[in-house]
Amino acid sequence: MKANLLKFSFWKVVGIILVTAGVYSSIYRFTHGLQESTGLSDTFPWGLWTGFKLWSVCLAGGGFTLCAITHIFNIEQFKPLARPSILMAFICYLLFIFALLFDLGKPLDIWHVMIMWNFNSVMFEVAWCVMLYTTVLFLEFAPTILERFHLTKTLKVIKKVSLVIMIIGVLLSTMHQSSLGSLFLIVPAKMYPLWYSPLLPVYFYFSAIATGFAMVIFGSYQSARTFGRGLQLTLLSKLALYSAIFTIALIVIRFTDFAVNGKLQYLFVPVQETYLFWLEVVIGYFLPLIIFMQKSLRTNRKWLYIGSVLVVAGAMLNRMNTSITSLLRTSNTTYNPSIYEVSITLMLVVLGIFAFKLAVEYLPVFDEVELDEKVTDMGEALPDEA
Amino acid sequence: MVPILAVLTFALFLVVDYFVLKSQKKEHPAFMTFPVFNKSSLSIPINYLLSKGHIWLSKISDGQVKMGVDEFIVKAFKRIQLVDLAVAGTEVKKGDVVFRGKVGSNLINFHSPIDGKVLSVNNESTGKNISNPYTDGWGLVIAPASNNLSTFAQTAEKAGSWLDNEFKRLKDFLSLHTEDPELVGITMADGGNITEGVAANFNEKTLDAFEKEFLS
Repeated sequence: MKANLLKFSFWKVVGIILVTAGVYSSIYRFTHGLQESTGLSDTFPWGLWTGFKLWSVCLAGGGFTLCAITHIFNIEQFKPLARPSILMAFICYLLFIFALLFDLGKPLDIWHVMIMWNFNSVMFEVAWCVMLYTTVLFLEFAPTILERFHLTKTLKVIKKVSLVIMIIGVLLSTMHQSSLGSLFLIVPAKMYPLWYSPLLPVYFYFSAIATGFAMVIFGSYQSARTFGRGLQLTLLSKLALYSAIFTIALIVIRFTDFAVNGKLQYLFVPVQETYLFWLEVVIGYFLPLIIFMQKSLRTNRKWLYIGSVLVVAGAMLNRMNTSITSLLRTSNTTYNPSIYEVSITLMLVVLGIFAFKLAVEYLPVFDEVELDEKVTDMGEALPDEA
Repeated sequence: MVPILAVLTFALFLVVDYFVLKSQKKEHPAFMTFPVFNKSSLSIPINYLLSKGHIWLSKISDGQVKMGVDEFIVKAFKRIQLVDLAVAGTEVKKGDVVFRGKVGSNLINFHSPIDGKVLSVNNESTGKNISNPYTDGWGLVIAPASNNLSTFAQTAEKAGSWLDNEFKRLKDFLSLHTEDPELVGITMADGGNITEGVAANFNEKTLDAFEKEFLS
């Protein structure tokens, strides 16, 4: 382990530089306040960190979708992908929390929401969903840690209640993904029509599912790249198809909403918002659809990867457009993230990747037991075909 | 322009990573000519059974069992076609050749793990490279002589540990039989991992040895 830590590689050096810069920026942000350290202002209080938070939660969609598939719908063939997806979701939620601490004007007051309940606030729902779902994600991931340290008694207890935990997790994440969309329902007059819709909670939920599947694919490639693992292309290409189905649903709902609410003309107005909207839907919806809907492409390792990258990038564009682009015009101001905001965001990404790598190296994340469970002893009678 | 900045940063990292790997003479898994082949490359569908001779079995109804070549073999050879399938109506015994695999111009025999009578043959996949071994790549439907497979099916307590062992045996087999040092370099690339298509260039003699070692 020591030798491995001391071995330098290109990305390790880049990571160290980014984290060092991030630590400096963090100190600067907490000592000088938001006004001096960020490009944010009272007229434009949500910027890069808000977009990053929304994106990271969107990427976590793979956790609850895989949980639902494997534990609620009992489609066991996807079990080998469940643990890495839960880990990814857990890390994404931790990144959300850390980014929130930087984004809040008074981060030390973050605990207020636990005792000062305001049922009329969307933020209240968001905060509680984050707290509860992160706890649930930890419990979902706990067996991996308990297995590693052979804590069998606690493991048995956790496994007994695992189905309940999974169901609660799916429920909470559904609430949270959609409540993040609801967050923008409170500013209908401020948002650009191409992003505002009363159906925002549905968009957020569906896009989290579509992106979650793609993120599992993307994560599998990154794991294969880093740990020399093989790729379960059969499973991953199925996830690509599921992602495409939810993307189609998104396109239908979104464009129907444009038609019904008379917003179609905004699709052709030559302004920055229109270009960014088209970039978002072409990268995030149309190109991945072309790839994922064709069996020959989604079963091809190169195209499957490209498709997943496009969906993840499209989700990034969507969340940044929703939280930044859509609000800029009515705020009558400009927003350019400061170097501190960029630096802290990059630091969080590096720490997230590092946490994932550490977990995979030292915990049984790619659990082999699940594969074993799938095959019955050959001495038993043949079960029915799935 | 923040969204564009964010996406470009994301793209930049991926592109740089691609070239970093290239400079290290490694390949990204998405663009590998020879993808890594290990246990995590395989996904066995639920309720499918693997036999020692790398034939999968799946019950499709009472008294009917579908069989085909497993993913281990398909990925090891990368391009393999089923040919010479047993004719419908034929009685087969455990160990009889039920079909052959065509690898380039060479043939390799697959042996039935069970006794039974061939009910139907998958003519649609015959002579075509198998891409989905557990779905449209099936070979035969057989009426097994007995539902108690313990009398004729080869045991593998757990597929996970059995597959681990198969990969170890494959590595040993390669180091014993692969005379071409360049091929060994390819097959053992990436820290000792073997790659898909590792068996694609076996000559007739090596194929015979492979059949004896892994398929009998």
